[in-house]
Amino acid sequence: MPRREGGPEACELGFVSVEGVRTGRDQRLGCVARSVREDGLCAPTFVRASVEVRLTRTREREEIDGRAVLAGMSRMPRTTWASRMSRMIRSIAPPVPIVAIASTVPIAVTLVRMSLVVTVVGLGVREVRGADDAEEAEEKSEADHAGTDGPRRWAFGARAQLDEASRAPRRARRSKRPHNTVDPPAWSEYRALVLERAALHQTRFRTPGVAPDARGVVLGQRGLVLFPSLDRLVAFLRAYGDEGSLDELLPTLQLRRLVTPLKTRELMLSVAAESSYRMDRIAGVAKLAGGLVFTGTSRHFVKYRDSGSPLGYDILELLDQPADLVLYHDSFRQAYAFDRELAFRDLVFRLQPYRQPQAFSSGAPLPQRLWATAEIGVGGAILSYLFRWQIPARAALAEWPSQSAFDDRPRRLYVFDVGETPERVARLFAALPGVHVFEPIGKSFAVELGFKHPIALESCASMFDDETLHLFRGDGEVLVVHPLPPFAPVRSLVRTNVAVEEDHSVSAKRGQGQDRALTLALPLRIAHSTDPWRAVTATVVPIAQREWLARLLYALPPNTLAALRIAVGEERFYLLDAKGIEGVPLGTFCSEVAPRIYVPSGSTIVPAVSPNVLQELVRERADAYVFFEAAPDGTALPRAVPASAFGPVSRKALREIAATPVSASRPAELEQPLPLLQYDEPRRFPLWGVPNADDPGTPPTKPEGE
Amino acid sequence: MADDAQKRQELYEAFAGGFLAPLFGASVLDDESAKHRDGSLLAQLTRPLPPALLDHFELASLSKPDVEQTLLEGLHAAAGELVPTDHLRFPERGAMAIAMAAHDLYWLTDPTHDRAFARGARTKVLAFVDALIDAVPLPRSREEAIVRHVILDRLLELEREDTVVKNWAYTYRFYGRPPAANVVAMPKLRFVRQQHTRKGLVELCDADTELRLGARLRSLISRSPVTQLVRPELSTRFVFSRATLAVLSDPTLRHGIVEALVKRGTERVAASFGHALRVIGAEDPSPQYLYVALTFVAELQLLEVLDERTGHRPKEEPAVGDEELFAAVLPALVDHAEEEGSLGFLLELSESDLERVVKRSELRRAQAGDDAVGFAKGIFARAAPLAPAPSFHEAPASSFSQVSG
Repeated sequence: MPRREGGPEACELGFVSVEGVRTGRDQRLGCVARSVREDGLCAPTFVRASVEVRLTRTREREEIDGRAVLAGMSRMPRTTWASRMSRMIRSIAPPVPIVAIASTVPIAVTLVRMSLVVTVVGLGVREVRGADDAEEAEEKSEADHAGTDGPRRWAFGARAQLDEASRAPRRARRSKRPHNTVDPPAWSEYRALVLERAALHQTRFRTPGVAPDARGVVLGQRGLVLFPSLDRLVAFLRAYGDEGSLDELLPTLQLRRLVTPLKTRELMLSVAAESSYRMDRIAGVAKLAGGLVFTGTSRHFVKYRDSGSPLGYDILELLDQPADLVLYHDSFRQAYAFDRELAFRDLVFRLQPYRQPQAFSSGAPLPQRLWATAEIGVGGAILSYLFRWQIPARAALAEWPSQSAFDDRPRRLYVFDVGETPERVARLFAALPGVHVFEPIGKSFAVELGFKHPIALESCASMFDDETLHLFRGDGEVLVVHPLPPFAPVRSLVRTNVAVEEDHSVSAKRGQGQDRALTLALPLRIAHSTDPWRAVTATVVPIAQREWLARLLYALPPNTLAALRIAVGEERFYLLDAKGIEGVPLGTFCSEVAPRIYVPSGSTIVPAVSPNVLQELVRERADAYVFFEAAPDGTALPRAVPASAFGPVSRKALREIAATPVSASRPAELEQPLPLLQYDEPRRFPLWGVPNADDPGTPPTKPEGE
Repeated sequence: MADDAQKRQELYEAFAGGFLAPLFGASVLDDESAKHRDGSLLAQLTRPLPPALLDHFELASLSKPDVEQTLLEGLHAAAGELVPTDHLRFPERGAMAIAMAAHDLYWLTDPTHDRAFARGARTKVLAFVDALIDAVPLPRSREEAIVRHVILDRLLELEREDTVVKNWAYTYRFYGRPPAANVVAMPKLRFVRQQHTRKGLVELCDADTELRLGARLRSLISRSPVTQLVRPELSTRFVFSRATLAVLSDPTLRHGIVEALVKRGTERVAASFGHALRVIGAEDPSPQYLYVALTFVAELQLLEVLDERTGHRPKEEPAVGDEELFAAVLPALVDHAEEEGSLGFLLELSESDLERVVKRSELRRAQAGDDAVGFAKGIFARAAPLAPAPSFHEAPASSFSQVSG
C-alpha cells in the first residue's frame, strides 16, 4: 500500500518497477502512473501521469528507452487508462512477453487484464502536488524516505544513499524526462541488497554447501551456468570444446530447462565444481557466451567470484520459497523449478552443422581419409569407380528398419571408408546427388565435408562408442549405423569380366574333389622361368601314379602325414602342405604365386601380372584353389578345386573304423543325501486316533548279563 | 480290533515309508508335498508312536516292496562304509525302538505343540520316548549294533528348515513346515520375502530346557554303542560302558570305528577318550576291560600315524586336560613293547613304520608329560588280553561274557 502523506491536495505516486522476461537482458519498466486522491483508492483520478519504459540490456551494453506520457488522465476512466497503457507497453515491448509488476490492486488488475505476468519488485511513494510540482515533490520524497527500510521502500531508500556527485547527472537526465518519472535502482544497489563479498579466511557462510577452497575462493560442490537461451548454451559448449575438452565435464554434466514461477524458461548447465581452477575456466567461457555463473551444492547457488569480489560472494538472506533451485546474483535472486532435463547427447544430435565454404576453396587441403554414404542406386557405380581407379577403399551396406508401415522396404545405404582419397574424387563425390562425404573427426564419428558441427565433437569423443558409426550430415540428419556392418574391400565387391566355366569332373559332395576350368578373356600363357623355386607347397599327382602315392603314404612320418591335405579328382590328386611339399616327391610341383593360386614350379605366367591383379582376375573362384597348367598350345589353363574338397590325408585315404558301442553307466552313489525333516500337519488333539496311545506296551526285556 | 490293526499298519507305512525310507533315498509318498522345493525328499514326521506299537513294527513290512528294497540297500551301503557286512535284518526290535524314540523325540521339538489342548500330549509323548529308550536291549550281534548305528547316525544328522515370510505388513514364521500357499501368494505385489534357516535336530533338543530333550537324546545315543564310539562328542562325559567295550572287543567293528574316527580326525575325540581311559583306569576294572580299551586307543593312534591316506595331521600343540592321557597311550605302548608286555604285538610293524611310530611317540611323550605316560603305563601293566580273540560271529553270546568276565 502506498503511504499517504501531505494535505488534501497531496497525491501519492506509486512507483512500480516492471521487470521483463529474463532473457539475459534485464528489462525494467519504470512506471510512474498513479496518483490517487487522498480519500479514494478505488476511484483514481490522474492529474498527470507519465510512463517511462526502459529496456536495459546490460549484457550487451544496450539500452532501449520507451517513454510515453499519458496526459489528461485525470478524468479518464480506468478502463480507458488500461487500454492506453496496454497499447503503450505492447508498442515498446520486445517480442518476448513483457512482465509487468504492480504494487497496488488496481494496477495489478489492469496488468493482468493485459495478459501480462506480474511480479512486485519494488514500490516507492512520493508526493505530487500537481503537475508542475512533480520535480519538487520528487526531491522532497527522496529526502523524506532516505534511510527508510522495508521491502516496499528500498527503491527510494537505496537511491537516497547515492552521493550527490552521482545524483547530479541523473538529475540532469531526469530534467529532460517527463514529470513524475522515477529511475529504476542501479546495479550496485541490488548487489548491496542481495549479496555480500566474501572475506579472506571467512569460514562461515550463509549460503548452504559452500566453503572456501585452498585459495580462499567460495566454492560449492557444483558449478552452475545460467543461460537465457539455447544458442547461448551452445555457444558456451562450443567455446569450451574448442578451448579444452568437454569430456572432462561430461561425467557430471547436467543440462536442465528451468522455469520461474512466472513461467519463463531458462537453461541451466551444472557440473561438478571440483576446483576453482575449473570454475574459473568455466566462468571465463560463460562470460563470453552470455551466461551467469553460480556455485553451490544442492539448492541454493550463489554467484561465483568475479573481479568485483575475487573471493566470491555470500548471500545476505536465504530466499524462503519452495523451489528446486534458487539463484542469488548481484542483480536478482530467483527461484526456479526444474522443467525438464536435456540430454547432452540429444542436444549434440539435434544441432545442425553449419556450412564452411572454405572447405572446398582452392588450395585448402582435404583430408586423406574420408567416409561416404551413397544411395543404393549410385553405390554400385561408386564401387566400380573406386576399383577402376585403384583407390583403397572398403564398403559396407548399412540398413535401417522401416520407420513406418508406409515404407515398403528398409532404408539401405552404402558406406564407404576411403583411404588416400584424391582431391578430385572427394570433390566429385561431394557434388554427386545421393552421395554425402564425411570427414572423420574421431574413430567412429564424422561430419559432412564442408560443414562443421556447432560443438567440437572431438572434445566429447567419449560420447561415441566404437561399435557405432555416427555420421552428421549437413542437413541436420544424423546417421547412426549400429551395429557396425562388416566392411569389405571394394575389389572383392566389384564385378569383373572374367568368365569362369565350371568343370564338373570333380565333385566335392562325392568326396572326390572338383576342378573348374577357367577361361580368361585375356589369354595367359605359361612360360619357363629361370628364377629359383619359391613357395613350393603343392603338387599335382596324375592318376597313373596312384599306386606310388599309396605306398608313399605308408612311409610318410606322422608330422608330414598330419600336415598333408589332399583333394581327389578323377584324373589327378591335388596335395597341399603349407610347410613345403618336398615330402611327397611325386607329380608336378607347384609354387604359390598368389594366395591359393599355383603355377608349376619353374614356370611363370605371362604377361607377368601382379599377384593382386591375378587374384582379381580369378575372383569368381570363391574359396577354391586355382592350379594353372600349360595347355598344349602354351596357354595357361586354370583349374579351380574347392577348398571343401581338401581334407587331411589320414581322413581321405584311410578307411573308416567302426567302433563297437559299449554300454556303460555311472556307478551308483553310495551315500544318499540326507533329507530335511518336516513336521506333520498340526492337529488340535495330537494323540486322538493314535492306536495304543494308552497302552504301556511290552515291558522291556533285560539284556543278558545286565 | 480290525480298525486298530489297520491304523497300526497305516502308521507303520507313514513312519517307515515316509520318515525312515527317505533317510536312504526312498519314500512311499509320491506327491509334491513330501518333497522339498528343490525336489529332494523330506523325512516326514507322522503322529506320535506309542511303545505298544513296537511289537507290530518289528514284524511289519511296507506295502511297497521297491521302497523297502531301496531302504535295505541304503542300509547295507551305509553299513558297508563302516564294516564288511553280509546281511542286515530290518526291522529289528532294537533299531526300530531307537528309530521310534528318535521320531517321538523330534516330534516334541515342534513348537506348535506348546499350545492349549496339545500341551498335555507332550508329557505323554515324553513318556513314550522314555519307554521306547528303555525298550532298546543291548546289541547281541555285530549286525544289530551296525543297524542301530546306521539308522541313529542318519537321524542325528537330520536338519529342520525354518522359514520366515515377510510381506509388506506382517511376518510369519514356519518351523519345520513349508509356508502356506496363501502367505506366499502374489510375491511381487505383496512384496513377499522368505528367509530359510536350517537347524540340526541335536541342536534343537539341546536348546530345549523344559522337556529336557537333550538328556533323553543322550540316553538314546547310549543305546547304540557304535554311535557312542564314533561320535563321543555327543555324550556329555563319555566313559567306556560294557556295551561299548563289548563292541570294541570285536576286532572288525573296532577297526571300522577306528578308521571312521581317524578319517574325521582324532583331535576332537582325544579329550573324550582320554577321560574315558582315566575313568576306567581309576575304577579298577577287570584286565580284559582295560585290554579292550587300551587296544582301541592304541590302534587309533597307530592308524593315525600309519594311514597317511586320510590326510590327517596329528596335533602338534601340548595336550591339555584329558588329552594328556590320550596322548600318553602311544609312548606308553612303545615302552610297554620294549618291556615285552602283553600288548607288544600291536607294534609288530615293518621297520620304516615302526620308526615313524617311535618318532611320533616321542612327540606324544613331550605333549603328554611324564606323569600321564606313567599313568598309562600303569594301565598297560594291568591289562590282560582276551583269549581267544573275541568275535561276534563266532560266539555272539560269549563275547560279552568274556569282556565282562
